[in-house]
Amino acid sequence: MADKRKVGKLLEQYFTGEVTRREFMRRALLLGLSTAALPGLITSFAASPASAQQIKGTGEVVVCSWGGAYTDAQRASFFDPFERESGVRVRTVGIPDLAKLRAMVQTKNVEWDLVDAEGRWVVSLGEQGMLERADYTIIPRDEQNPGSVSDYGIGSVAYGYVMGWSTKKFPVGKNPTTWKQWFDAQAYPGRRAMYTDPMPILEFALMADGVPMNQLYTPTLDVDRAFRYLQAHKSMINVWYRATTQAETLMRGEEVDLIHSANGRMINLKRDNQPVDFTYNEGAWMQSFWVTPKGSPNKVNAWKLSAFMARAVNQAQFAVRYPGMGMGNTRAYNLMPRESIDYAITSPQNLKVTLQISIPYWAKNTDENQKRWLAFLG
Amino acid sequence: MGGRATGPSVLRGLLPLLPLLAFLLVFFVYPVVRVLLLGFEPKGPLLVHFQELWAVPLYRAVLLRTFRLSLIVTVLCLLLGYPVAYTIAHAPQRLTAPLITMVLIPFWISILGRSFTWMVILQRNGIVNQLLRALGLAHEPLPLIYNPLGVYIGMTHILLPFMILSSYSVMRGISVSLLRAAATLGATEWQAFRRVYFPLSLPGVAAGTVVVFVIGLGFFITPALLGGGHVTTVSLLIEATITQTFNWGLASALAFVLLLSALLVLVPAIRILNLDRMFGGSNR
Repeated sequence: MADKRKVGKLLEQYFTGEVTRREFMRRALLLGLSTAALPGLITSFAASPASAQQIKGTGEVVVCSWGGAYTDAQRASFFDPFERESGVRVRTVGIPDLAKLRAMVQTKNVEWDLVDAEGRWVVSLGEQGMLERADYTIIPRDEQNPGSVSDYGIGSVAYGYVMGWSTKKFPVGKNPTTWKQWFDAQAYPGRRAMYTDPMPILEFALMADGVPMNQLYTPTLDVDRAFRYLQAHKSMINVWYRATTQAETLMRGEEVDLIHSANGRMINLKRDNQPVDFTYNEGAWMQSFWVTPKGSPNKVNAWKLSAFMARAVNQAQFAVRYPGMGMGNTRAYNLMPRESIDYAITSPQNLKVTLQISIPYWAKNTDENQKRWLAFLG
Repeated sequence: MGGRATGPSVLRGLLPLLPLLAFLLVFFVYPVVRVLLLGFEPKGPLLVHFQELWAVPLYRAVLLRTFRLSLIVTVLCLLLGYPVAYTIAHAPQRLTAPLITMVLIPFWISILGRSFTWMVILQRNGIVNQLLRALGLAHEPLPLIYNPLGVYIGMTHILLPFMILSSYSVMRGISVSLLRAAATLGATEWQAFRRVYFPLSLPGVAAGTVVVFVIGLGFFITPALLGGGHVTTVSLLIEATITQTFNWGLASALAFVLLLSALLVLVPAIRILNLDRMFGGSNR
């Protein structure tokens, strides 16, 4: 029998696209594998650790996701292959809405089986008893990083915010890499835009003011200090934008030179060869979760789909189709091309330089901080 | 139109409106009342949200800003729209339809689309700034957007058709012979316009002004996109209060105050301007 470790390595290379299908076949034969065994081998590699048997089912599962290219990528990487393998039909609806979910559960009229929910919702909804506890006898969690496993489901994606800049204005090596530099108008003159949301601008302001990244929440976020810092630097922000899509318009039009933006928007610009770059250094991310509203009629199918989505191969494919999102399965990063790993906000290398936004903190303090934020903007 | 209908004939006259009124009652009045009632706290002090609106300076500032914004936009629409309406009303017959179509076309494009287009046009490297620099009229790009100016431009563009169409509909009914009569009595063209034409056109202008002002008060997308965070209006505040802090009570109180202050402006305006003449245009 062929060397298991070598076969595993070869399969990884095949999935990351490092070797072509033909080259894969050639090397597989050299390792002593028979042509007939290959399809089964690929399937079992892709399927581990949740075996196909556990996923088989009937009926449907209604998934509530965010729509657009994001849901298209989910359909191609998760939903369509799941339908083929399980026999369960996946119906997608949009878009996740906290108030709607609450109303569904309260009126016992649950239309969604699996919701791509923001982390801070999961905390509050869970506390209010609005979510089913995930069945981890169905969903394998041994390959997930601990931050992407909750009582109510596994992580869908991690997404976040970064600093970006115009490379025309700040060529390689001359760009800011910390928030202290980003807020330094003397050293980095230019027009600036921020996405108007206190989360995680308050964290960024504190980092800029000298609080080490790992001490931001200990004991708790110093909101007074953050607002003092922002007030002192408010005049240098030319645009507070309200729609995440605006980040691209602002950079394409050279309206601003420095920006705080969702990471996905900066990746779009870079892939479109715009003179824009960004860094994950001092970026911040938060985890979204696949959760099931209490009383969902197809909750078992929802968990089967979760199990399918937990597979490294499927997550790797999603990360290739929709670059930038952090995937929970740590093995998924072994199956991605280099570019996707660089872009994924929670890949092992990016995890070291980014901040995980505290979900419990924001679940508790969003209201109060938002009120102060509105008053701060005026 | 004959003498005013009285008694049962009023009801008979209203009969055709019943389906619409029933529709509005169910799908407009009821939800609006429900939402407005959320502003009153049944379990705590009844007016707690209104007290907060009063106590926090932010809300008063935003309310005042919203009224000022809408007022400025209304004046801009008036100054730009009146000459256009006049031109269309007195253009040769064959030009009327094309001109009206040109006024109407923007109606078919979504406000979101138009606001994004203005972002592209007015930005630092946009067409306007490029032109100004090419002509040597400006050396630095002018800040035309992400400030109040950008919001004025965007809102005026979107609301202008309302002003033009309501002015036009009244102007069309003004007989040119009245102006000739004024001329035969020795009036100069300017006098004939100022003392005969302008007063006759006022009902249309008044209707346009009220419509533009009221729609302007509730504007959301344009200030959100073109204001760059520097032009917070009441509707922006309501949205943020609901989606960011989930505070329906406070948001409803804000909506209540906006509605009430709009009515406080509208009701006297309608009485002074004479409701009859406003939308009918049949005043002769």
